[in-house]
Amino acid sequence: MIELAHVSKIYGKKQNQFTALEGIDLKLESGISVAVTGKSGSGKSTLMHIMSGLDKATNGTVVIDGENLDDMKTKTKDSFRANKMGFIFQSFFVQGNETCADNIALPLEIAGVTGKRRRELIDKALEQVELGDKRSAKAKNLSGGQKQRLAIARAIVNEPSILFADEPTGNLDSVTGDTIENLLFDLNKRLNCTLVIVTHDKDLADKCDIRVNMKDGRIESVTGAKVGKK
Amino acid sequence: MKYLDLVKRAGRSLKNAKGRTILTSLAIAVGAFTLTASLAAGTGARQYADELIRSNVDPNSLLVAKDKSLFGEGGGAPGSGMKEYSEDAAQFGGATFKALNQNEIKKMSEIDGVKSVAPAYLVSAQYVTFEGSSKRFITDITAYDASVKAETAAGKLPKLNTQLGERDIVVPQSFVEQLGKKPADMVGKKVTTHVNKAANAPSDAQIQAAFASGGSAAVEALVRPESKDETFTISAVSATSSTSFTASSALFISDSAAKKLSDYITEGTSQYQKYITATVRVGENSDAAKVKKEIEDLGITARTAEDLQEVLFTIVNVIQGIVMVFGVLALIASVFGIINTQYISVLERTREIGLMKALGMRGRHVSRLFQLEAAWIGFFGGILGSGLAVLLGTLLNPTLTKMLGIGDSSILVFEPIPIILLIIALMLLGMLAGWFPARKAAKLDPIEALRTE
Repeated sequence: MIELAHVSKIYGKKQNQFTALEGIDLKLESGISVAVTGKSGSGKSTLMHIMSGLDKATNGTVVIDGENLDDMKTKTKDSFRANKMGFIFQSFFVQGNETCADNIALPLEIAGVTGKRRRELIDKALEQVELGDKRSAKAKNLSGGQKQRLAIARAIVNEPSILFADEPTGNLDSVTGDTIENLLFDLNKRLNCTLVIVTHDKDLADKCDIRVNMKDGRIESVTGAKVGKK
Repeated sequence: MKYLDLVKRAGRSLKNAKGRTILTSLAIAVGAFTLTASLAAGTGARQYADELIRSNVDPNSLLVAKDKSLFGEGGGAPGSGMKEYSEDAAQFGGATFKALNQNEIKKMSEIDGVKSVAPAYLVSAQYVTFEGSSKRFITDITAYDASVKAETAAGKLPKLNTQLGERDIVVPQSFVEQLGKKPADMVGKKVTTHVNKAANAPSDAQIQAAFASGGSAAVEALVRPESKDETFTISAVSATSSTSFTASSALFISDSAAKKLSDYITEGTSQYQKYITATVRVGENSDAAKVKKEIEDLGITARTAEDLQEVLFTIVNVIQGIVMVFGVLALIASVFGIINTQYISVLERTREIGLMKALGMRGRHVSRLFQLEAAWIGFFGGILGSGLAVLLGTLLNPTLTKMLGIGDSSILVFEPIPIILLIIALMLLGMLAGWFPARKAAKLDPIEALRTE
């Protein structure tokens, strides 16, 4: 469960202050799919960064599965992220010169998983995104859709409880985008992990259990079938 | 994050930027090459110097002299400037030295731990003749040093620390070659030395007495130097050696024979039983350095084999040091190369670093990753430079050794441990150079790094 209470984020100092987020209260049950929508500059990316512990809230508290991110030391927060979260980005960020297996190995290396267990998890992740035959292929030789599937495999390899996806289909054509969307929702159900998607795409947002619509750093509306009670 | 994973990841990153890695490594390789070569040359030179000393000087013996200038101490070259007058002065080669007298020799032999004191007898024969040759030769004749093992070309030398027989003589191979003979043919042949007694200036009364008794012929006989012939038998021909000086430059006779000849020559002169140098032999279990101190308390200068070694080593070390400075300068230049390359690498891989940090990699580990890459560069550079130095050195060694004419010693001696230490040092140097860019990488903000556009 992700709980945000009175979260605000202010960049800069004094005259140059810019309020990116203000008074965010949000409670997301585990295992649901959430779309964070809004225009550019509405604060949706900042919200994701704060939820994932990449960025620190200026005010308010962020509690994930009962653990308060603000109280954590950098070291603990890093390992929390390494063990509990997966990230998918618009630009994939896969290492072209490395093999698919080496790309997927990164989160496991960071988490300190070694040997046989590491190999098993890599194979499992590759199977889940249907890239089982590309194990030793260089990532640069993959198509755009395959690259994003590889990025998804990397995100789920450490069996995270929360999966963050920042515009996962933004760089893909609609057909490939649909495949990726289906894969994400499929994994959301199969792995029972919370899926947080930041997107412009209304169609994608509509497929999610909850839609959080952002405007000027505030939550404009929260809609959907599984809206948690405050 | 496991260290091994970091090392592997660092290696892979470098493999993906081969050209850059090789070029940066080359800068280090230049330094590594220079250092490896100079280390090898230094070791070679020291080994040669060591051999040189061991085949000329016994570690249990000290060379002593009254005159400090003989050892290059106490002001200038021997014979330059004015010398303080001393009753114990002796002439040698036109230069005057303070010499050791019998009393001092006796005192030295009484020092605890001293086995024997052997003065260096100066035997200057007028000429020497060899059996089977009518020619007369001028050469040095010295007392045989029983403490140094010499190689023979023919015949047999006595065991170590045993003197030659009273009538034995050892001839160097080069002399035999000069005579146009084979070493084996010379063993058993006779050598005759013709020595002159120092001409003593007779007093007027002596001249008058001689004139009165035998006329001018008697005066002539009185003034003419007395001389005698001593005949020795060649017991061995010493082999020419690249390391032993003495073995190839003089005729050797036994200690006692040399003393007799020396006494005969100098009798009646101020040089009689005065010696410029002497060799003090120390017992096996005694400390040469301790004996040296006691001898110096007597006002006599002493040199142990170690002192001589030190002098030679100092020269080698200075030359080696100069070459190594160039190597170190090359390394300093290469450090900036590494810093530069790694900074560019950090800039190029901003996204990769951002991703790693977003996925929970610790700043410390990101920093280590870049330092390890720099260590890899240092490692490659070291292997490349040292490897090339060993390869070229091994190929050129016979030629260089021949050019320098140092016989069977080799001038370049590659030792594995200093090379391994050098490579480790280069890896550490790489890590040090990689520290600045690594810190930049570690401090990178993942949000900034991952921001698209």
